[in-house]
Amino acid sequence: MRILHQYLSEFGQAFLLLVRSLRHLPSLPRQMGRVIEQCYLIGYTTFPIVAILSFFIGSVLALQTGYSLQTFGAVDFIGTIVGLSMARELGPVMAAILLAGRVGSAISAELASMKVYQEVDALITMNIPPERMLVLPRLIAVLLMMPVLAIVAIIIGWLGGAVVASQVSFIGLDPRIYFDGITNFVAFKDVLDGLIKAQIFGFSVILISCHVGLQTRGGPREIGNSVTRAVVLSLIAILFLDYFITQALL
Amino acid sequence: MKETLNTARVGFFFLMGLVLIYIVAQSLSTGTLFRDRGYELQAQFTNLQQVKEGDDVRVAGVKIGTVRGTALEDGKATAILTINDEVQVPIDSKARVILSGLLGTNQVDIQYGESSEYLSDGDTIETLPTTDLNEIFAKIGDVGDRLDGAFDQVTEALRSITGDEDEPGLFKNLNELVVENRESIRTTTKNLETITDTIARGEGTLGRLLQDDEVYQSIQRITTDLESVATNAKGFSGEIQVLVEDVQGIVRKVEAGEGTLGRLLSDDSIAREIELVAKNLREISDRLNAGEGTLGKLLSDDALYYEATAVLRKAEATLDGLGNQGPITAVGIAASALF
Repeated sequence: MRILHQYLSEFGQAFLLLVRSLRHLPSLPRQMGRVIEQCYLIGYTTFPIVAILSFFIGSVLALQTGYSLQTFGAVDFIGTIVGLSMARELGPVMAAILLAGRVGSAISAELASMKVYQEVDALITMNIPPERMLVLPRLIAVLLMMPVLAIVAIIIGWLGGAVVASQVSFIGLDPRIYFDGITNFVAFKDVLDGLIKAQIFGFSVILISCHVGLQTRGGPREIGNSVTRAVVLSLIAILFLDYFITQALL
Repeated sequence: MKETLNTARVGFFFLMGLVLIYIVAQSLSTGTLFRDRGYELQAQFTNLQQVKEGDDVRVAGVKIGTVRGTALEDGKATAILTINDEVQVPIDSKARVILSGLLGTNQVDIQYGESSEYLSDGDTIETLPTTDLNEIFAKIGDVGDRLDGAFDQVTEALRSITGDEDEPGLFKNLNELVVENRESIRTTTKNLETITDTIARGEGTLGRLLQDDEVYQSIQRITTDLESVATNAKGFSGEIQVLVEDVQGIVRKVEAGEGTLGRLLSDDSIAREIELVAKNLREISDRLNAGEGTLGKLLSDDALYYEATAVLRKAEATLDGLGNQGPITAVGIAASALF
């Protein structure tokens, strides 16, 4: 019960942080430099790991489904299965998990250390709200970058599946049939649903990481704890939201 | 400098994302990356099933275009088909919606016509009624019902054979027949056995016919006799042949108009003479009927008859007179009687 209360309180404070940050939206044009910097960190530097992971997720998916479907002689449907899985579920979720691991942890570590070393207090003293300078640019950056990461994840996942489906001897599926399976059975709405999901996941991950970082109290040891908590809370949020968003979008 | 580079990278990355989203949107909604270059045809169907934008248009399984879109016009489903420029569709071709897979996906299939005129942009192609799977299943259901009915009838027929408690069937009747006549059947079987035994032993007419060599030899003799008869008949037939040849010779002569008979058949002059004779005879008979000439009068005029009768009568009286007065006055009496 206490744990539940604690989690609810965390999410509630994160929501309040969001509200406080959005109040500073008018200051956004003056912070474009920071937004672009965060876009670079969130999007550009995360791209390679997202690409690698998606490629192998797609490949493994094709391999597994191909292995199972060859029993029924239904390998033609690998494209459909990989296409739908990557677009609706795996692309957005994997991109968000990588974002939590790579960017969320970095953000919480940065903000936690700023908090521990009283840089945040210094900002407050200078009448610079930390939400405006530290949180808002990151939230805007993730809103811009997350769809890009998600679509990259989806497409590279498809390509990974195509490579495996055509090259593995016991599947041997022509790439044209593979992509026909995708174009015939995957609608753009499926991809759009995936992008919406990714957007919500990414936004939650950054919000939670900022919140956990700014909540840090105590000495340098707390920085590590904050990073761990930020990543764990982000993963829980991703999986929790995943179910309900999926149901809402169906 | 570094900041500018990062800004450029972010800009490039963001643009790449937008382009990828656009490409995916185009690919998935139309089935191809870019709009197919081609001309558009309209096809009105009663039922489009699950045909949607981006589905294939095929001829004999070869893709020649895509479905550009679907719409409802005047209560009829209309599909707009984009056909590749290099493909020409005859004007009397027919389009229909068919299943392209077992999962319920459809495609538009075009059956080429014979015409040498071709459809062009904006034309409407004729369509064939869509085969609905549900209808097929309904028909299969009907067939099942009929089969049920047929099986019922078969069962009924079988019941009439096997019978039930109330009504004895054919088998039961047969059984009763066998039971009732068991003794006579046994006797018949025994008799048959005796007969076959007798035959096997070569006794009786049939047995000797089958077993005795003499019968065989006598049959052989008969056959030999028949052969000699046949040989004789062959000789006789030779004579008949000679006769037939003679008759043929006669017929040939008659045909050639030789001899009396031949001339009679082939010469027109004889026929003309006969015709003339017949004509003359008819004239004579006509004149006789009309009472012309001596003979005619003789036949038709009664006066002559009466005169002759009077003469005879007078002659009779004269002869009577002669008998009474002697021959000296006979001439005088005859002369007075006659004149």
